[in-house]
Amino acid sequence: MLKRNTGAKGHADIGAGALADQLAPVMTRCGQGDEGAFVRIYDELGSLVYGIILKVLRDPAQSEEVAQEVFTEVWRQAPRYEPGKGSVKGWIATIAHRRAVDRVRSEQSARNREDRDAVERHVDLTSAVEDLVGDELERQRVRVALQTLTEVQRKAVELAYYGGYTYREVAVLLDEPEGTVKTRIRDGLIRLRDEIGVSS
Amino acid sequence: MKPSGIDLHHLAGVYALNALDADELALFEAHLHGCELCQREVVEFCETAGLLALATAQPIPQRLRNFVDAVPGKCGLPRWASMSASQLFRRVLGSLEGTQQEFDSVAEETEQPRHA
Repeated sequence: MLKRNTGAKGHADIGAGALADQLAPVMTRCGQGDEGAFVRIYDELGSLVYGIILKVLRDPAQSEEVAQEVFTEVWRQAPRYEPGKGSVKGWIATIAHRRAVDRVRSEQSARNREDRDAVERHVDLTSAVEDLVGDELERQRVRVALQTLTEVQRKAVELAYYGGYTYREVAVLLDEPEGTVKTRIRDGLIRLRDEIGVSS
Repeated sequence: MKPSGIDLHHLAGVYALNALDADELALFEAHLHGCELCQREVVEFCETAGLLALATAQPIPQRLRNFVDAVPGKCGLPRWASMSASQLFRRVLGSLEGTQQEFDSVAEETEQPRHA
């Protein structure tokens, strides 16, 4: 069904950062059919999954649907997760983001895309904001790191990742040559990687 | 004009952000298969992207939580889903007196594509 090969992303050796991933053994148990481990995974990463999907789609109802697809895929693909070859967080974020952009680039979503400003107003939230406090420090680091990018790098990265646009679309939106946008995204990611580190 | 090999090396970033069009995506993935440098970069950039995702975390809606609670029951993961091929083989051999159905279901599961 999906054309993208997430396997390629998951199978290069990333080194010590991923090996230190505390969620890796949990994902391994998840792959052995441990439902408690699955609950732990989504307790830890559910807000990340839902958050990035909502950021891209901006529609709470569609975002819930896509998040359901993501967690179903995570459960089914869990036996294929290989510890030490990318963190659980990176692996699941990749699945979630890819599913979100697949949806946003579909015809139906494209029509809705002009009308996406309702996102900040969604109300079906039962978890308290305090639930997010544990990750607040890390999120703050990311926001600070984003501010270290040049304005053009930050815009290109944000439009591509948070906006779900292809880099060619970003080039049109920013009225820049495609090659320039490609380079800015790459340089921006390298800068972020070096600022934040890739360890999990 | 197709990108040259050198150009392909510079697509790891946009690939990790899922920001490639379908035509370049196919070219890059073919390249990625044999390029350890790009594999490493893609993983690192995916880790970085994961942190960009973390920065947008939102509380999970109750409906989604309810759905996720029910996922294992709805798409049950048989214990042998994580067995090695040899374990599977032994299990199938050991249950030859069992039904053909079990053999078929094991075979079907193991024939699933590695990645959806």
